[in-house]
Amino acid sequence: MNNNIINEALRSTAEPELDREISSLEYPEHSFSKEFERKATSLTKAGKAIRPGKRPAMLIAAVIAAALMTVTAGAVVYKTVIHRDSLAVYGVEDVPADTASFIGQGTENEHLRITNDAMLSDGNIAYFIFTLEAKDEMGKSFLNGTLSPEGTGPVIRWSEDPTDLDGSNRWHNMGGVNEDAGTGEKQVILGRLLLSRLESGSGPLYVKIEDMMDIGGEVCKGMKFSFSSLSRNIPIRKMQDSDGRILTVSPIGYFSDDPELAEMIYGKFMSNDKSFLSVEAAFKDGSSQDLSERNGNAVPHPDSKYTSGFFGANIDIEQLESIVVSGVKFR
Amino acid sequence: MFTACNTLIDAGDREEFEAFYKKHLRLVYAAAFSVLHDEQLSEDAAMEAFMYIAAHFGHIKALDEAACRRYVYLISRSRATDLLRKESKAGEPAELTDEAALDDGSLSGYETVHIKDCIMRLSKEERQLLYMSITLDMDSKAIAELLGISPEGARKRLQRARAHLRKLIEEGSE
Repeated sequence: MNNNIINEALRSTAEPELDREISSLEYPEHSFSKEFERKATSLTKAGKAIRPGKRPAMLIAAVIAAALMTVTAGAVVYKTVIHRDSLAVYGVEDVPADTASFIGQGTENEHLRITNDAMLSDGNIAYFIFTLEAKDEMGKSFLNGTLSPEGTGPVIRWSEDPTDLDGSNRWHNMGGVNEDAGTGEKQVILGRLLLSRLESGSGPLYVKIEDMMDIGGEVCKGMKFSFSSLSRNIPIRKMQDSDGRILTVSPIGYFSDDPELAEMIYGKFMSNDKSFLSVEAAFKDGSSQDLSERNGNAVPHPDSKYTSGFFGANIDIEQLESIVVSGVKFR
Repeated sequence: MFTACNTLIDAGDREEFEAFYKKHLRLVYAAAFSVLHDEQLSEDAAMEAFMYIAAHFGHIKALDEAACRRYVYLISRSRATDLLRKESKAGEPAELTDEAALDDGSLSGYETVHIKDCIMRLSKEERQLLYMSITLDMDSKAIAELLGISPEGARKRLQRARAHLRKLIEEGSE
């Protein structure tokens, strides 16, 4: 058959038919089960890195020095140097080890060692960089994804419940390994967290490493630690759109709890033909940076009152002239 | 099963897939719910739909937004129907036995409006099967996975739909 003719006819018959069916769908109120969310997170989150943008990374030394958190080891506490190569993957530079007690700390067992290289919080969203290293063959297999028959690798999860360190449903995915930056023996993990998800709003936060599906496996035994606080340790700027709606911008991302804004941005997102939220930053020197498709550029859910996203790179907010999120411009 | 699917998504596609997931989650669930009318079963069907989407994401992401929505809708409804069939213990659908051979002769002699009329006379299932095959460019293996039948079964259904269409076209032209 001549597929061009058939195709043309199908487009004018089957497509309107499908569109009518889609438009007549009812959208029932539904809260997805934790099991569904866990599986979905395992599918969608893989922590692929976004390379730093062209803008120079901001100096975070001073703000890190004001950090209020500490790391409490779940297993063995050790002190080590910061993995600057891990930080560089995300455009973070110049974080001195002696300015914050949590930097460079982590925990380890006989198979793995994890180091917290950075925790940046703007009070709305937090951004963690961990380095996970293999100490033996089992650890290497785990990092390579060959330990699990399903080919899954490490994932970092968080919880607020200290009594449920081995539980399941209270642990949420924070991020996965960075395939671009990792090697067979060392992987970088970027953790991202919307602080409004915390009941406390600012910690404490419990963190552990797991296989993506194999909860509590031998290789991850004891790989837990906690942050006593996630208080803000980087600067923020309040920016406004033409109607006076506020967007809080920091070097690592943006946030708004204005439900009207969330609905508007979601509507714009749904009406365009892109599968990601467009974000563009313009700077005072006339340069601009496309932050679309950056790591963790969140899409506002229509049922959510929040709009948030991570830049995947550090931007200099003092030099920021404007930022456009899904067509909405903030100055 | 779901995790195994994760390995089917290229690393470079994962962020794009995450955005795709967020954008289409409500549609996937609503399409499944329209068939199943059960929250838990609809979640199961939605999950299966996303697994299918993950496995074919390279193809799906290349479609325009409208085609994506139709594709996602078809997948979700199909997975829900398949689940409903399993739940009702009706078993696998009977394989079609129509062995009508494909006739790839040109249709250029026929008026498009006539072909369109013939397509409307097909069953909805046949019409949408041809839509998946021709317009969405899904191969029989992908269609088989979507419908929960064997590739051979999918090929036979396609053959049957094409043969039915050809018959209608030729009858109407006599």
